[in-house]
Amino acid sequence: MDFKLSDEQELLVENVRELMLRENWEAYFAECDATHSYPERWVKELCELGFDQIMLPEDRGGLGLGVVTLLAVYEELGRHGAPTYVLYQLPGYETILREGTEDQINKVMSYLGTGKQIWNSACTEPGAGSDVGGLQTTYQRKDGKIYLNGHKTFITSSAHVPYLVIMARNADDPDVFTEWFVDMSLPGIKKEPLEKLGLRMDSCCDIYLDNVELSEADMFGIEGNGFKRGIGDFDFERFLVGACDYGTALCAFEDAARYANVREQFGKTIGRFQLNQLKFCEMAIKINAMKNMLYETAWSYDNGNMTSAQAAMCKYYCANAAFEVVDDAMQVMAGVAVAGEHRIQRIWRDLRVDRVSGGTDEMMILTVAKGILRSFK
Amino acid sequence: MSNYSIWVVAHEADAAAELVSGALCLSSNVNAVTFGGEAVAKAAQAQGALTVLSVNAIDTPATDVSAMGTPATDVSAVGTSGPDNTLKNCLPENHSKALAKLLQERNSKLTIFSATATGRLMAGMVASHLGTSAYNAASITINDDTPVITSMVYGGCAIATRRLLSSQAVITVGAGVLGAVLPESQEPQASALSAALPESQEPQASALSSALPEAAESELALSEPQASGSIEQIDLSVNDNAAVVLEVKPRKTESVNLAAAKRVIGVGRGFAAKEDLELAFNLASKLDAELACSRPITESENWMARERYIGVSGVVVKPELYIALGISGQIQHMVGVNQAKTIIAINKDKNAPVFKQADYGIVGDIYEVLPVLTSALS
Amino acid sequence: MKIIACCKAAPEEQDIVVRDDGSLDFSRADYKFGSYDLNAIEAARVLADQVGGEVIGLSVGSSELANSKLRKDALSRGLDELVVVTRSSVGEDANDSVSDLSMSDLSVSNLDSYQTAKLLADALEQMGDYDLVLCGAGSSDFYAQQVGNQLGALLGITSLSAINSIKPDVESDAEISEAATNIDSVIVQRLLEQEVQCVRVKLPAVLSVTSGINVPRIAGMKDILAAGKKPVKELVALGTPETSTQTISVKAPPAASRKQEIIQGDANESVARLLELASSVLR
Repeated sequence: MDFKLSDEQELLVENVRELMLRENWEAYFAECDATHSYPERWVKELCELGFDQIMLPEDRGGLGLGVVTLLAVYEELGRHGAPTYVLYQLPGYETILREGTEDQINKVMSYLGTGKQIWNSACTEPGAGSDVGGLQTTYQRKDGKIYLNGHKTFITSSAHVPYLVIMARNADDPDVFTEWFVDMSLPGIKKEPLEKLGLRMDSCCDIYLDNVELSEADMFGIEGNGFKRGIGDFDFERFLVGACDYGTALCAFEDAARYANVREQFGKTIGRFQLNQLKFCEMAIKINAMKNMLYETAWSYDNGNMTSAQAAMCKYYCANAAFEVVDDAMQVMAGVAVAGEHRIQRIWRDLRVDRVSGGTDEMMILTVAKGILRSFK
Repeated sequence: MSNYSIWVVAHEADAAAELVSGALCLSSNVNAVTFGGEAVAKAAQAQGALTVLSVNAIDTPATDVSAMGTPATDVSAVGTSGPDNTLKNCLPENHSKALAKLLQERNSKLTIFSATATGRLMAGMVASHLGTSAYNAASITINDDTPVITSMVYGGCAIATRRLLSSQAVITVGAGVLGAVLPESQEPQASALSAALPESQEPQASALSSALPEAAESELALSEPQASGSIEQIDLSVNDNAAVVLEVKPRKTESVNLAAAKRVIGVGRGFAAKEDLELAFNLASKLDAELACSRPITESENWMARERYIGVSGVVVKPELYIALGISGQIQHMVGVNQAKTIIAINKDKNAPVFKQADYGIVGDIYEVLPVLTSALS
Repeated sequence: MKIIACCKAAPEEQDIVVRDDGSLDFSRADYKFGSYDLNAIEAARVLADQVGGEVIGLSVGSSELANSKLRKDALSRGLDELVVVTRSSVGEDANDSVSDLSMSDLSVSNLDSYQTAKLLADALEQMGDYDLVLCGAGSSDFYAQQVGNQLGALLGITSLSAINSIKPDVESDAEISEAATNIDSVIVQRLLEQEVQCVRVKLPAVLSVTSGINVPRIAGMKDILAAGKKPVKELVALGTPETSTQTISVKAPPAASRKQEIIQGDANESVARLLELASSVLR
């Protein structure tokens, strides 16, 4: 079993590292986090290197590389404290290529290389969180047009994306769930931004839909398949969350390790005190476990057999283990971490959100359990 | 003192004086080849070179300047040429082949060039013709008629000590290395420069003594200038296909003498924008210190002039006080300042290597600390 | 236009460890092409793209040049092809006799600038006609800043250093694309200490560029993937000229002991404390 990355993968990682070291990005990230802004300049530079082409198929002008390569890049970016959580749209072409009409695909592809946010899917509503099926947004056909009505909430990236894929049920046949590719500049759409505890460089809004007029061409995917499609594509999104969490935990861990080797109290470096050593041992184990789980899952994905259980495991384990690592790292760095402006504060807040955002821990547990037990039937 | 044959090649008067007087500490048998006219030759002679061969300038007609591309951005209006008119159209480097032949004929055991771009280039070309390598020497001694030199390697991490084995060794030497301190002023004598004509072959003792600048007594670590060495005008042929100088513009260099500054303040990547350098500037004013920077500030960001870059490929300083602001402390920069008497560092990152190399350090945000420090110093 | 960009692989500085006795430990340092060489490759690529042409990387070294990743790294930065020159056997051309243990850590015995220039010149002879050879300001390990200078002299062509800009010598920009095969000189700017020279250089020539001439590109992902498909030619140097030096030692200088008094706290407190401790130097 070869755990080594290929030459090309190593070079990709090294070049990403070069990008991160070339500038004082931390100052930029801190500002974006404070102002709740999307770090477009950084994403654009990443795209100039080709980041948004990693998983785009070669016949679409992409690099056609796999998730293992993507993960190696996420890992390196995260290590440098970068907000990889804003990148989730860029590797996600598979969905749009599979479900979108040619027109919708072209609209999305026109943003390639710009680093701008493009689209997200919108399921969640005040009455439908974990229970996606409880959504109340409806679509109704009238005089050859379709009218969308409802209220979506906690929709990530929605303040700035030009398009949202909105899941709604047929007002005339409520068991039919269909998704719609909605141009966010249409009349009848109102956005109200929400402040968040963490992941602040990506916006979050309430979306009010008041008789938004659409045409049949705006249907996304197949009528009635909306629910299945949405749920089915959660898996990759969950894996990405795990990858983000692992990367940023690495950042905090390394900051703490360097600190522990330098900071002295009572005549020796604090890394020599046993209570800290216990923390480092446990942090290292979690980091290692996250790393291996993610790489194996990535490898499964590239081989066409990643399961929902694997993806859910990644998200559940990494969100929690990463949070524990960062919490311990924060404890090691103590005053330096909790006072002043250390980046670990942002990382800590970001990670706490990931046990809710993108699917709660509780839902992940159910998915894992069901999947595992099924294999023993 | 040995009789080891040393030849100095110089194209500037200051360097000629320093290299010759410095070489005289290594051997009594020091000669010089000079480019750039009378002033340079006289400077070498004044310090005691036995023979000075002054190369006659070749003044090729100035080529059509309109063939030039975009002028350098850091250059002021087109003015006069470089320090000496006679350099205008023919680079001293263009004589490298003939110069090497000359040095071979005169059996120079060690040839010393100054560590300027021109000196280095000449050294390399001459060395190739002599079948040897040119090295930059941070220090030099002669042991048993063999030069032993030191140079900084691995980005300033280490010092390599090498014995030069060639029977005709070639080195470049930077200012201050050979130890001799120059008299205050070595202004080229303007009237002597305007004529590019070959001068009389006879050494003119009386004319020489009046052309010598006043020597500052206490500063000299040299033996008495011996005006007995002779200056001989020679011609050196030009290499085939020599490059043609189209134009020479003086650089709008910031005349900053970092090496002479008693206090230096360095700025690094901790500053987010050019305007923020004002914070450092205010502190520098209060402390009567010169401003300097690490490489990214001048190279990638272009916020400060290259003359202010301190580091392994920039200036090396030995001030009484060096204050590092927002500088991480990588060896490539620190090697330029770690001989300072006292080092103070201010950096947000507790783990920055600079703190291990400082006497005093403040872990803090330069944006907060600097205004407080500046006002506290009033 | 055929442009050769010379480059040298050297141990990554950041990973060199200084032992307590001052000797250097290279065991964790991978070989990388020096950052100054990247300036030369970038300058070559920009010029080749401007006038039409190809850029061939040329490197003299030892076993480190067999590393596929190292080769791809260079190829991903704008080279069309890479030529590596290794010596027939390290022992035979034993060079630089070592009199200090610290040198034995190096897996490669080091060539001096004359030897390197000579091997480059020999290789260039085998590579056919070329228009221009670019070198960086110096190699990242020894930074002698001489290989380019010495190379020109060995080849009998013009050698210039401190090059801060290179432009094809044509009447107007419109001529550039047509002139691709006919460019026989370039106009360069040399950034000297006191002046900027504008010089016309007849090709072929060797130009050593400054570190400020450009900001070398970070290799794009596409270029990294394409690198593995670009040709690499291996040449064996038939003989190395004798060395001109004997290295006596390579040692880190003893670090000046610094007080390392670190102050933490809010800005006002810190400044007050600093003024207490360091009043004599700050007044």
